[in-house]
Amino acid sequence: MEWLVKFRYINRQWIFLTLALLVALPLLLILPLPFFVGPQARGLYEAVKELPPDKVVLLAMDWGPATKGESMWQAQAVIEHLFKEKKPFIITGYDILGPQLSQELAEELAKKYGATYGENWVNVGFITGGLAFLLRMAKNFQQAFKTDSIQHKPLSSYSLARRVKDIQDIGLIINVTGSGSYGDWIIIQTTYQVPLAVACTAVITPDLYPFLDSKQLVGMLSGLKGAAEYETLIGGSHSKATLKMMMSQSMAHLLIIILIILGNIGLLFERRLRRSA
Amino acid sequence: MLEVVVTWLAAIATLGIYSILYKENPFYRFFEHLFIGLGLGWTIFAVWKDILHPKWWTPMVVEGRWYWIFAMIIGSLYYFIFSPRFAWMARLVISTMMGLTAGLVFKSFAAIYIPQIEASFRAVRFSPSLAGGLNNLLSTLILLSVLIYFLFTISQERQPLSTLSKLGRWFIMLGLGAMFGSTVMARLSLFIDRLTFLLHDWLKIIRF
Repeated sequence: MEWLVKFRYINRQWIFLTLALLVALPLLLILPLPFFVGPQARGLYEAVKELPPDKVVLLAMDWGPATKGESMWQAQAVIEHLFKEKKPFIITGYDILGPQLSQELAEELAKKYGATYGENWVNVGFITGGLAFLLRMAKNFQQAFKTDSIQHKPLSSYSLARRVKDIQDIGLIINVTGSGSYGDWIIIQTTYQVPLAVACTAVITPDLYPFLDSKQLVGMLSGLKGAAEYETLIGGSHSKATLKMMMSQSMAHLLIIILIILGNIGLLFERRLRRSA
Repeated sequence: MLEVVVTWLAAIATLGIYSILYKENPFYRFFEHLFIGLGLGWTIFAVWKDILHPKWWTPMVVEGRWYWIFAMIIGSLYYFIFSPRFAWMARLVISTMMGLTAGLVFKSFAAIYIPQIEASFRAVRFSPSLAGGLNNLLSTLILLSVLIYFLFTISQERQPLSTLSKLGRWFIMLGLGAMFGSTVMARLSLFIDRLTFLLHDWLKIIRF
C-alpha cells in the first residue's frame, strides 16, 4: 500500500501537462457533455428583450486583458444580442482598456448586423472619479461626458447620445466586470431604480447571488459558463466555441476532483503508515 | 501580414508567460516585464487621451477657462507628502478626499445593504409552494446560525446556542468552499481562453 502515498507527491509539472492535455481534448474533438442554461442568464436575456423602445442600454465595461478569458466572451455575447434586437447602447467603463476592447468587439459584430457607430452605439470611453462621477452622470449625462471617445465629437452630434439626458433615459445597465466595481453600479441601481445586470468573472459569482435574491440584479452571467449560456440563448456566432470551452472546463474540473481524491487517499495511507511504524 | 505578425507575437508571449509552470527562467521574466511596461505605457496614454486632454487641457487652453489650472495646483499638493516641512499641505488634500470618500461610503452602505437586510426577512410559509417555504426556512436557519457564530459577547457553551454556532461555522465553510470552487473555475477559464487562442488563432488546428 506504500505506493498509494505517492499520490500526495505527484510532480506539479505532470499535473500541469495532464491538465493542458485534458483541456485541449474537447477543443480538438466533439464531446457531447450535457449543458444547461440557468435562470440568471435567462434573467438578463429577458431584460434585454423587454427593454422599452425609447430606452438605451448602458454597457459598463470594467474588464481588461487580465480577465479577457471570461469577460470578453460575455461582452461579445451581450453586444451581439443588443445588435440582434436592435437595442441602442452606450459603452463606458472604469477599466482603461474595457471600452477600447469592447469597441473592437462591437465593430466586428456590427459588420454582421449592419450596425453603424453613432446610430446603434456610442462609446464615451473610460471614466475616472468612481461613484462621485457616476452620481454626476446619473443627473446630467451630457455634462458628465461631453464628447465620445472614438471620433471625439460632442455627444450632441449623435442622435443616440442626444436621447440620454439623465439616468432615467437608461433602460438597463449591464456591467461586465472583472473586479468589485459592480458595487458602484448597485448603488446607482438602488438610488435611481434602473434595472441592473452583472456579467462577472466566476470568482465574484458567490458575492453576487444575494443581490439576485434581493432583486437588485435582474440577471447575472457567471464567468465563461455565463457566456456559453448567453450564446446558447441568443444562438450567437460564438456559441460553438463557448460550448467547446465549457466541455474543456468540465474535463479540467473532473481532473481536479480526481486529484483531490487521490491526494486525500495518499494522506490517509501516509498517516496509517506513520501510526504503524 | 500584420495580423500574422501580431498573432505570432501574442503566441510567443503566451508561451513565455506559461514557461514559469516548468521553472523560473529569463524568457518568462522578459515577457513579465514587457507586460507591465506595456500596461503602464497604455495607461498613461489613455488617461491623457480620454480624461486629461478633453476634460482638463481643452477647457483650460482651447476654451480659455484658465481657472482649471487650480485642479493641477491642488492635485500637485499631494506630492508635498515627501517633504516633512510642507507635509501639512498634502494633508489638506488628503483630508478633503477622506471626507468625500467617507460621505460616499455612508451612501454606499445604505444603498447596498439595506435592500439586503430587507430581503433577508422571509415568510416561512409552505403554501402555495412547498419548495419556496423550505427554501425560506433554510435561508432563515443559515442567517441566524451564522449571526450567532459571530456573537462574541454571549457565551456559546450552552444549548441551543452551541449547536447553532457550530452549524453556523459549517455554513461558513460551505460558503468558502463555493468561493474556492468559483476561483478554480475562473482561473481555468483564463487558461482555456489562452489555449483556444494557441490552437485556433495561431496553430489553426481547431475550427468552430
